[in-house]
Amino acid sequence: MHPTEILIRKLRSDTHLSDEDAASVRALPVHIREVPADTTIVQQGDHPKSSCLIIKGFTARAKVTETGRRQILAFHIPGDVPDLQTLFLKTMDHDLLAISDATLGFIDHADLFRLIDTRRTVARALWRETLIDAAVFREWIVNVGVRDASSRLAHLLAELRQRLLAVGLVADEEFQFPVTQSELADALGLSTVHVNRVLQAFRAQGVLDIRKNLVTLVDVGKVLAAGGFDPMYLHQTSTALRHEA
Amino acid sequence: MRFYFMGPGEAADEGLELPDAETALCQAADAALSMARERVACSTTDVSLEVHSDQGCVGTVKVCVVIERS
Repeated sequence: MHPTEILIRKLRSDTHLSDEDAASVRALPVHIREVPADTTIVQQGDHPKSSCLIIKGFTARAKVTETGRRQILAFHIPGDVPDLQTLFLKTMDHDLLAISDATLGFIDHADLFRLIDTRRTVARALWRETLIDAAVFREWIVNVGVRDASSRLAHLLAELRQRLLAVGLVADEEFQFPVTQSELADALGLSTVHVNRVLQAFRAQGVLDIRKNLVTLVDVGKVLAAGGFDPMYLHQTSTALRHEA
Repeated sequence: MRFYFMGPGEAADEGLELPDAETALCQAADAALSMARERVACSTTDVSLEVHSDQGCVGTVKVCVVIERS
């Protein structure tokens, strides 16, 4: 499969890309790099000349405070271009790191500029992606700011399920998500022990489980209810996806 | 080292790998504080967590919320 296929699949789930548009994305030169888990891909202060398409694996965006505490700002899945903003915002204001072994496709900014200058629909689709990125950040502020611990975790997993559905990476309500409890704690604004306790409670209640990098939503209805999850903010326009929620 | 965090009457489930007992107790205290904060609207009963290693109990943390009405 061509490395940009997953990006085309994702963009096509919400935007009508013509065959010519898809061909122009497919024609982008992509520099493939395999990285092990815990690799910092781009660091705060860097001035990247390319953006990174996640082909396989998972990444996270994070900021570290002056006291050394880390807040994970977002998780990214195959098909995402988590540093697309560096096309216009030249200095990274946070870190991007691999949380699993990952296959990344680096696309030079010069090539991306040529693409958006010539393919208006692709430009709009990429712009839309950055707007949805902002919508996800807004939802995460609500999640971390006002939801209790179990709702935070349920909401995060419901969101991941919904996003992974769009790229065909959920099967029988199970999906790969190689995250540690410590990373979950950093994403949810909780201590690792609190995450451990919440997971134990969900497991005991037969709601969900996370074992060996595999998330199993045993009772999806209860997960969605526990997280108060409404997928509207993901702005997925595919009818099939809206019915999955 | 592996540590297990249990409320009153609970059995040990999967634990966590943490560097030492002191870290485990501090993390347990942090968790108990946020658990107490979450439940304070409906209950001010104490929140306590026992911390065990594979060698046995290493300590207990307890958070009490007291509202004194005047």
